[in-house]
Amino acid sequence: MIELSEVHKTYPGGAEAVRGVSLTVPQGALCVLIGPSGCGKTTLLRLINKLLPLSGGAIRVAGRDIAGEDAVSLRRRIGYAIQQVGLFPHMTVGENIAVVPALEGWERRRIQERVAELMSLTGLPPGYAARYPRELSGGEAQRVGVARALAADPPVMLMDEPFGALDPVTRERLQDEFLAIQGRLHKTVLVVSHDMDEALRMGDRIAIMRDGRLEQEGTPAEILLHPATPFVREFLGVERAFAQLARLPVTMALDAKWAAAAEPAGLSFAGNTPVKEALLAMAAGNVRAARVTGEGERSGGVVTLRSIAALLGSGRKGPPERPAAAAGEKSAGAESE
Amino acid sequence: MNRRTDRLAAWAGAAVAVLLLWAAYAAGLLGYLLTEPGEVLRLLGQHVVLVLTSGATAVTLGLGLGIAISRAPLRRLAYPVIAGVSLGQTVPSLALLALIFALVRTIGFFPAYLALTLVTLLPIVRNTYQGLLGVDRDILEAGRGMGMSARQILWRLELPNALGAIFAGIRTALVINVGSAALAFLIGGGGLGDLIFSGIDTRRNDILIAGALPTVILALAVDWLLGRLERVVVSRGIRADG
Repeated sequence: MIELSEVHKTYPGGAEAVRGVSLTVPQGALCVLIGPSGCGKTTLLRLINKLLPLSGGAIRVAGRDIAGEDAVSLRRRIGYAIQQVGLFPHMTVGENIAVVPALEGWERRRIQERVAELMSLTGLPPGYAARYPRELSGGEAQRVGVARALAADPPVMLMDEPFGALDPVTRERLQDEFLAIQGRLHKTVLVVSHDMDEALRMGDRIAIMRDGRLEQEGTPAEILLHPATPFVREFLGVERAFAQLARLPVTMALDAKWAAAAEPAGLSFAGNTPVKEALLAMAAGNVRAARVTGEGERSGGVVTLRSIAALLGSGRKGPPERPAAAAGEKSAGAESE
Repeated sequence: MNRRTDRLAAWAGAAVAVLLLWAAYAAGLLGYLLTEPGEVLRLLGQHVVLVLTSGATAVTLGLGLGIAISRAPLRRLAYPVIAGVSLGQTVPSLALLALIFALVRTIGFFPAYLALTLVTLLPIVRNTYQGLLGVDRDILEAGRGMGMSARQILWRLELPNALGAIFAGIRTALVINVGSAALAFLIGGGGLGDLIFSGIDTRRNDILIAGALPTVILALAVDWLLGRLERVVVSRGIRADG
């Protein structure tokens, strides 16, 4: 668990980078810290492992106030990965992954086993252990960076734009792979990003920063449906519309004006169908309205192009919030009657 | 490409050297070398001792100074130190010898050793300093973030990554050192300079050659040995020819 309370950071010279941020990343959760460049998100990350001294407030990592902790031993308990990867060019892949275990004085055999384990976990072929960083592609280097951060099995991980310098296809693949790893290891992770798509894809929680302040913190659904400030709404931008289409179930886009009795014939969707699929099917069928069947009559209704537009246009005018359909299987989107 | 052109150059060099040696022999220039090998070896020994002692001192001192002035608290000393040390190289070696001689007021091994150390220092200090500063900041940031102490960062990250630059400095410095050691004779420091200057004074080219030829071979040998050592010590991950 990472707990920040009223954290302030003023640089020598007076620039206020962080102005009173309180944020908790629960045990085992992945929180994406996002905001425009210069908003203080990287500064905040570097305060947590004492790469920068705190100006005010308090930070607790795994229950212990970092103020009283030795910086070096604190950092050994926190996995750290950065965008530039920072692999050590004079060390092989295996040696790079083994850095923290070696610093911690592990036995040689235990280190070798751990390196092999991490390489298979991050999808690196065993033969790569003897390669040097300059012989790796960007994606491979990033995998090594992640493996290295995980090496001593730290309970907490800090990652600064870990997938930032990659092409979109590789980035998505590594994001998915990291999520799969996270699903097994349940680390407490704070990821800095400037990419809303990455935040929505990876975050259990999202924290949005601007000018050193926390604008909003919540689950992706909370932030998509109820942007707390105009800035958050603007920052979500176009991304928000697409993310809503892809992530929200069609039951959230029901048109209140249609009585259940006046069901249009033709298309029908299961309640947990993503809005995106419903919209595509409606466009393909050239219809303006379709029936939504729910589990039990209550969640059913009618979805129209107008109600979808209303959902996209505003977080508040939408229908009353329902719990975002919890990972139901993506059943066949559209069924003709 | 590297390996093949290297080998070709080596063979070409060897062929030229053999040709020159033969020409020298035919012209009677190897006379002294062939008749007095004992004397040549004795002076070569003195020369080697001068090079080894002053070289070892300069490497130790140069590495220490270069590391010291690259540490944050001392970095403002970097400019004055490098400027000071470069005096050792910009002042002509001969003038430096005279200066040292005037300062220590003795002749023999010691003033020669002192002057040679000074001459050799600059490239080592400068390359160590610049090599350390040239190490990618992201690497050091990553090391710090992973929990390395300042000392561990120096020994495990900075020095291994600066080693290429440091070795280049040491090679340059020691080759200059071998050449400059020929001047030690002028203040009684001995070495192969004895033969070179005697040869000039007595217009005996075969004596001159008996001093100059081993000096050249010594310089080439030092450079070659350090090149070998570099291949062993510098990681393949950062070598230009890796």
